[in-house]
Amino acid sequence: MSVLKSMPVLGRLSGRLKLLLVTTGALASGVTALGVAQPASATYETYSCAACSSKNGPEAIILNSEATNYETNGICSAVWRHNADGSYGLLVDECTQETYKITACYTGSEFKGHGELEKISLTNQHLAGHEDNYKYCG
Amino acid sequence: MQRFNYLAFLGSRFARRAVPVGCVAVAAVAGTITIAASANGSSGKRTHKPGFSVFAHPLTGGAHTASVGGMQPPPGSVLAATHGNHYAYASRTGGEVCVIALRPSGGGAACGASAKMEETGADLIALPVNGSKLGVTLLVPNGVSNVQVADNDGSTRSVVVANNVVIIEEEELASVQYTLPWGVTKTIEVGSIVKSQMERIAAREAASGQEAQ
Repeated sequence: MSVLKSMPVLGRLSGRLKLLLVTTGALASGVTALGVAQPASATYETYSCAACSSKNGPEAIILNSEATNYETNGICSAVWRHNADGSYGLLVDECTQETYKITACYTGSEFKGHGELEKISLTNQHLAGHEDNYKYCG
Repeated sequence: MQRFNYLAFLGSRFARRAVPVGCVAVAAVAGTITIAASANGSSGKRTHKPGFSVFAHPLTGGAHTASVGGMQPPPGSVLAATHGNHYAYASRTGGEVCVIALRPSGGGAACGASAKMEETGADLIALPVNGSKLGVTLLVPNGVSNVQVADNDGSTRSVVVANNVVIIEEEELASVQYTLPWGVTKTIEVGSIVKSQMERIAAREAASGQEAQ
């Protein structure tokens, strides 16, 4: 028994109408998937430190790096690309003095690299970050 | 006509209990009113309602959500200002307010608790790396009409706030300063933040280059 015939309502419809319904559903699913700004292979890596001045995220395919300072305002976040020769190049570096959360976003294509977070104040602090390859900044 | 006997009432068991409770209640209400008045500034200077009017009146006439190099602001963001190819957005979700900047070379977002941001504003400093310019995007509360910009050579100028947002792009930026309607002045020490970060980056890139060799 086909899947369509197993559904009582669909089973009573004509073949052409069934095809139309299935096609519409497939198209709707596709549009919904496109609307979500996450690539097919979404990356989302988190990292943190209890008391540090800076910390690198793990190597991943990324676009964005978010950093949070759990103790006070003031934090920087950077996006580093791992170049073919083994060196690293800084693509974006953003800081804030008056807020506790900052995101740095690269506006090109995703790449292999990592995020980095760094405090602004003199003392070591509880910092956390995540890096991803989403098409939304913030 | 029977007249109310105050002496008898004050001497009654009910009055002995009710009068002290009433006095405490009146004192509590009076105290609350006094504290509220103090919080708002007893001098009556705080006449602006904290908040960001840009959420009710976003920038119109242009693209509401630009896509820069495929990167987009988060859903629900409102376009607040543009400066060349620098787009500034504001967003308010989950108890947080963010200022977001998208530029061809990169972008960023600075977020904080809504109540705090309404009191202080939010700042986003883009460091001059990978060919980009030093840029500052500020989201300031209602009532802040201009921002004072100071350069490293000591010169200053005033920049007008529009839609709660200011975009500044200058290589020699030392600080930006604004005074909130309730008299508090905030100074963003852009120059010192950039200097310390650039020194760290230079050391990091030098170490990275040596490791690669």
